[in-house]
Amino acid sequence: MRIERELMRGAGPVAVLKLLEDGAKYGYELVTALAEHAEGVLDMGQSTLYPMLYNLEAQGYIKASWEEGDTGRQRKYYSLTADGKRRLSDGIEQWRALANAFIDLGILPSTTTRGKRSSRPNLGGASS
Amino acid sequence: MSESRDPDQRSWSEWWRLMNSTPWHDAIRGRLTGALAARRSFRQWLQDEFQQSQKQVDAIVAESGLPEPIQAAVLRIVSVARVGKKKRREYAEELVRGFAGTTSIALPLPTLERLGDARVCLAHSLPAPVSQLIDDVVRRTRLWRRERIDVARELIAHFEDGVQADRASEELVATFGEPRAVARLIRRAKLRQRPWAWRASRRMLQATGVFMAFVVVCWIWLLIRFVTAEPTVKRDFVGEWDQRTQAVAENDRAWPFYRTAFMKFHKAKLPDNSPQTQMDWGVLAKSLEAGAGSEHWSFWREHLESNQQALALTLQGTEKRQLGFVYRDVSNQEWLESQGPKGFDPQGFSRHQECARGLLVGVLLPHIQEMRELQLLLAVEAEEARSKHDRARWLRAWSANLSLAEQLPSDCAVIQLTGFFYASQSWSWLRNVLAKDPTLLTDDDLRQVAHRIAAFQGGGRLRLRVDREFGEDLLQRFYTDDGDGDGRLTQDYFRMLGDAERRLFGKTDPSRDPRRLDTILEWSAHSGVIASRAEMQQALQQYFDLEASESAKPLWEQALDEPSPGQRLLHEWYRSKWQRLRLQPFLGIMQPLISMEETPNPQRSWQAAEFATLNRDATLVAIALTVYHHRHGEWPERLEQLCPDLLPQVPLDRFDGQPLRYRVVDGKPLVYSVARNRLDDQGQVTDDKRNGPEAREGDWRLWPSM
Repeated sequence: MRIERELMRGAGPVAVLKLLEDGAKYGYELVTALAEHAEGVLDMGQSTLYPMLYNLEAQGYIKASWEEGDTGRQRKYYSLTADGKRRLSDGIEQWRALANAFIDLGILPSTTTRGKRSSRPNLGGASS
Repeated sequence: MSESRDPDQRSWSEWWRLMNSTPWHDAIRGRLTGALAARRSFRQWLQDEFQQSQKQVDAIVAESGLPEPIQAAVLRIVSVARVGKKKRREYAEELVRGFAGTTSIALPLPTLERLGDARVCLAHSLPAPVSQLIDDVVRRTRLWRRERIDVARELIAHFEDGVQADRASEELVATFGEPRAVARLIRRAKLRQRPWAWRASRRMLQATGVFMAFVVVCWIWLLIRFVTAEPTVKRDFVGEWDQRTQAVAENDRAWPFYRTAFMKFHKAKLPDNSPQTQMDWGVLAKSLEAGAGSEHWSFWREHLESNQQALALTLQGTEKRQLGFVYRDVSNQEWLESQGPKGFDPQGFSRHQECARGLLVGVLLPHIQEMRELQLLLAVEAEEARSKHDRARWLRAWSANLSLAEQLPSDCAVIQLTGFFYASQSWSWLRNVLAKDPTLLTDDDLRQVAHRIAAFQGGGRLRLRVDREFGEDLLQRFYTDDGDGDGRLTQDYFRMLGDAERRLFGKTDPSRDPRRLDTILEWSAHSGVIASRAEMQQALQQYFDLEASESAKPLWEQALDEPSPGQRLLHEWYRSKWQRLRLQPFLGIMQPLISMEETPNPQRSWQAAEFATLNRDATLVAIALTVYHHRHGEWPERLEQLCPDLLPQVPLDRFDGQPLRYRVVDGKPLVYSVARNRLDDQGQVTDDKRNGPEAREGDWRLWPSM
C-alpha cells in the first residue's frame, strides 16, 4: 500500500531518524530498511530518500561522513545528532498522540495494531 | 629560423607564431604557396601529436597492472579530456596512481574534484544506463562543482550497492525515479545546506528580480494607460466668457473702436541709437514721466501726431460703457492676423490644435496687452494738453484713461491689475496737475472729477473667478474625465509644455519630443505619480481659497513682508519632493511665484489693489485740499476740517488703518502714508527714488509727490 505524499512528508523523516537511532547507516541501507519494514508502507523510493537526507542534514538532525565500508568501498554514512534525537523524540510523541486519537475514534483497532507491531522491527513509539 | 626546425620538435607557441606570421611573410615575399604548405604541415602535426599522445597514455595504462575494467575507465576518462598531450599524460598517471593498490573504483576526492563530475561517473565500472542516469541527475542539479561531485559519489555508491545486491541495472534505473524530478529535489535540499550569507544574497537577488518584474509590469500598465488617455474638453469657458460679454448691447461696446484703432495704429519706433544719444526705451519712459519740456519730449509728440486717428477712435471707445470683447467674433480675425508671428494666436499655441483651441488664457491676454499702447497714447495726450493749458483737452484725456480702467472686466485678477494700473495713472496725473498747475482746473471741474473718482469701483479687492476658471480650463485639457470629476494625466500636458518652451525659448528640449520612445516611457512613468484630476483640482481650490481670503483683508491686517498664505502653501509643496513631483503641472505654472522670494507676486497683487485704493483716497484728499485753499486762501491745519463739506470723512491709511497723515510744512501741504514700516516718520522719505509703496523705510509722500 502506498501512503499519500502529504502524509509521507510527515512520517518519512521520523521513520528515517528512527532507523538511524540504532547507528549510522548509508543511503542504500536506509532504502532497503524502509522497503522491508512495515510491509513496504514506508518505502519512499530512492528519489525521495536522498533529498530528505539532505534536508535533515541541512536542518542539523543528522550528519554525514564518508567512510570505508566492509567491502572496501567508500560510502556516505548518516548518523543522528543531538538535535536529531530530540526531533525524533518529539516526532514519536506526536505520532503516538495521533495514533491514540485514531484508536479513540475507532480508526485504528488498538489490539490489531499492537499485535502487528510486536512481530516487526520497532519503527516508532506507537507500540511502546 | 623556426621554419628550418624539425616539426616534431616545435612547441605550441612556436606553431602559433608560425601560423600567424606566415601569411604576412608570404605577402611580403610573394610566396602564397609557402603559407598553404605551412598550414598543411600544422594539421599533420596535430594528428601526429594526438597519436603520439594516445600511444603514451595507452602505454601508461597497460603498464599499470590495474584490472581490465579500471584500465578501460581510465582510458575513457582521458579520451574525453580536452587538454594537451602533456596534460593527458598527467591525467593518465594520476588516475593510475589513484586506482593503484586497490580494486575499488572509488577515487580520492581531490582527484575527483580535478576531473569534474561528468568524469566521476565514467571512472566507475557501473553499467552504461546507470552511469548515464547519474550523469543526467548530477548535471541537472546545477549545483556547485564540489556539491555535484558529492552527490555523484553518493549515487555511485548507492548504485554499486544495488549492483552488489544482484539487482539488474534496468531495475535500478526504473525504480530510481525521473531524473528531472530527482535533480530538482536534490538541488532544493542541497541549497538549504549552503551558507546563510549565500542564501541571504540569493533571497535578495530573488527579491530584486521580483521587484524589477513588478516595476516592469507597472510600467507597461502605466504606458498603456498613458498612451490611451485622451482629454475630454467638456466645458467651453471661452463660450461662457463670450456669452457674458454678448449680454452687453452692441452700442455699449468699446472694443470695435479699439480694434479699429489698433489697425490704424503706428507703433512707436526707437530713434537711431547712436552712442552719443544713448537713446533707449528707458530714457524715453523717463522723458514721458518728466512730462512736456523734457529732453526727448519731441519723440512723444511725434508719436501722438502720427496716431491722431487711433487717438480719436480710442476717445470714442472710452465713451462706451464696457469693453465688450467677444473672443469668437469673426471681426477679430483681421486684427489677430495683423499681429503677425509675435502676436498671441491661441489657435496656433500648440501643435496639438484640439488641445489649445479655445484656451481661456487666449481670452485674457492679447487685447489687454495691446490696450496698453492706447493708454500710453492717452498719457501723452494728457501731458501735451497740460503743457498747453488746454483744460478741456486734458479733462477729456484724463476721463478717457479712467474709462479705460473701468471698462476692463472686474472678475479676473490678471485683468484687474491692469485696470488698477490705468486708474492709478489717472490719480497720478491729477495730483501732478494739482501740484504743478493748480489753476488748470476750476472748482467745478474738481468737484466733477472727485465724483468720478469716488464712483470708481476698482480697487480694494481682487476677484479670482476667471483665474479659477483658467486653472479648471487647463485641467480639462490635461486630464481625462471619468465623469465624477476625476481623471488621469494625458500626453497633452507634456506636449503643451514642449510647445510653451518652444514658444518662449525658441527651441524645445529633445527629451520632450513625443515621437521618441524614451520620452513616452519617461512621461508614462511620470504620469503614474502626478496627482489625479480631482487632487489637482483640490490643490487649485486650496490655493485660490487662501489667496481669496487674504485679498479680502485690508492692507493693515496683512503681513507686508511675508509671503501670502497661498504662496506659503506653494513653497511648502515645492519643498516637499513628493508634492513637487505630484503637483508638477500646477507648480510648473506657478513657478514664477515660487521663485519670487523677496517680493512675492501674489502679495504685491493683493497689495496693488490696496495701493490703488490708497492712491484714489489721496487724490480725493488732494482735490479737497485744493478746493479748500481756493476758498480760504490757506491750507487747513487738519484734514478733519475738510469734512463733511469736501470729504464725507478722512480716508484711512491702508497701511495701518489710521486716518491719512497730513501736515503743513513751510506753508505747503503734505499728504502722506506711514508706508511699509507703519511708523510715522513725519513725511520723511529716506530714498527719493523710492517714494512709493515699496519703500521699506520712511514714509510715502502721496501729495505732492517727490
